[in-house]
Amino acid sequence: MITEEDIKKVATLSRLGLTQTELKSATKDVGNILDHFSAIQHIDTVGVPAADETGALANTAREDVVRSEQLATHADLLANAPATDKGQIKVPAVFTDVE
Amino acid sequence: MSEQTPRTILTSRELLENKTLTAQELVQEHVDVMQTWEPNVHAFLQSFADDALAQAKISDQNIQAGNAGPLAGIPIAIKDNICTTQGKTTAASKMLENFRAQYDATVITRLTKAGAVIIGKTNLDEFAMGSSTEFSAFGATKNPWDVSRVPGGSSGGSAVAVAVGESLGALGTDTGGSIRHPAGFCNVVGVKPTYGRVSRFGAIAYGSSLDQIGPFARTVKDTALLLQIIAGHDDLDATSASVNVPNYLDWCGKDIQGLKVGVPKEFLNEDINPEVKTVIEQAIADIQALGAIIVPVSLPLTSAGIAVYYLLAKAEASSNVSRYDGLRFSGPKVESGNLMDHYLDTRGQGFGPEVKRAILMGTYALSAGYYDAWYKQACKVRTLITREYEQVFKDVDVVVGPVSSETAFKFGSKTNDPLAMYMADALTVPVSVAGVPAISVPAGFTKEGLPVGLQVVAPHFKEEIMFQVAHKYEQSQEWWKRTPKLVN
Repeated sequence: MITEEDIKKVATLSRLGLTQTELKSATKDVGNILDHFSAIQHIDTVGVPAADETGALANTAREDVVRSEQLATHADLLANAPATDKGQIKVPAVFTDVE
Repeated sequence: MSEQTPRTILTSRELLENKTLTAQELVQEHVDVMQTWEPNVHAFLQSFADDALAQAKISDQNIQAGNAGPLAGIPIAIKDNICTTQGKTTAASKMLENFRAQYDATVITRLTKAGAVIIGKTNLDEFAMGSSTEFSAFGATKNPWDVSRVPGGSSGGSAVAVAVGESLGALGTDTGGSIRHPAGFCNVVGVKPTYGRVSRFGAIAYGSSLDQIGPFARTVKDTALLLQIIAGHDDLDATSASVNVPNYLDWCGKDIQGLKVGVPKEFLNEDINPEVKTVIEQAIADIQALGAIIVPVSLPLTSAGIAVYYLLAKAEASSNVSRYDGLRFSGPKVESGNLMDHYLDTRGQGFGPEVKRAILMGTYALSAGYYDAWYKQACKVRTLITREYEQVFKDVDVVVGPVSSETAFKFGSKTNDPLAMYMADALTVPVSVAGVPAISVPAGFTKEGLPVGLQVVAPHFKEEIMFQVAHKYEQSQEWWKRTPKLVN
């Protein structure tokens, strides 16, 4: 059974802010959904490869060359960033003295 | 119900080529329809009317000069999770409310090269996660057949744009049914290609091993033309297949005498709305009358489809939306001090409830200690489902059934019950999991006047057989000609 602690943990892992109300309803909803989905645990998959290991399309490669139609200006590429400084995207400090 | 036979891409192209109509007149007609219908249905998030008329002028010049492309002058609507350098690409999310793509998706490049006129961006469930378009951050789209009901989702806007005649064709994306489902609810044709058939470059990712861009139109033949134009290998999408693209139009009109049409018993089970069942059983009888051989088959893992699909899709989605940090692309304005708070606040405010559920469930299914039981197990059952389809296609050419076990539901009837919303896709998700192509084609109406879609599923990279059967069936009936009436 999923607990609020479980949801809090994955919310932190995925950097998702939740209000108390959201935490409560997410615990209920995700719990309910996973309960329902637990039926797949009973399907016999011994010896069955995971789908991404069936080798349908693997190691697709192409030449590492820039195509002219993919070129964009520095300004274009930074246009969507809310805060820039001297041509770089400005972000809050990653390392701080606080833990 | 409209009395005139509605326009199609192909009939409109004829009118343009024989100069009965100019592209500017054609596009203006559609801009006028948008004007009339939008207050009632809200299919569009952005209108490109002015640019479209300017583009139509160029189309007219090309037509005059005799070098018009196959879609010259044809207004096409684009689901707003497909990148266009024109306008914004919002994915119907506050997170991307002001995002302007720096490049066009490959499908856009291919459409415009063929002469298409992009008339606007259509509404969807936020980040394509949903089955009703109710999860759009910018208001729901209404079903033109009954505005108290949903158009289906997540490509609700695109389906409605074609249904009411705001555009002659549209693009949507289908991860677990998001093209087929609204097509079925709105009485239009919608196609989910084989995974890898159409380039995903420029499609905002939801479930990367499931997503496909596909066409909507009034007729099967129109969707065959659109698929022809957008399909094929793309260097910019490493998951796109190098499989040759047949001439799909050539297959529309081929006889279906002797073709084997499988009807999986799991598709017509006890959960189905009895009126939907009646419509589909009649459609199957009509297909049989055209000379096809109906073969009862079984796809026992159909009921496992929902669990497998949602575990995979939500896991992949949680990974795909982790890029939305409000730092490289702007999100909602937040006043947080440190980096962690910035992430929590931006993502907490920028995402709607379904996206949040997806992130939580997906992250959980992928986390240490749970990965094997949930995500990995789903990957293994996926192999079994794919094998089941490959096996059934050894005995039959296509498989048919309803797109949905119900018709368009009322607004608000499932938004508080996420599981019920997920179950709406029960008949479309196993197809997505297997990666095989499928089409939804109008098959009739219930007594309440709600559309019912027939799903035709074909083997991997055999869209031509799907078009062959669907076109033959469609032309033997008149369902596609019915258009919704404007009720003020």
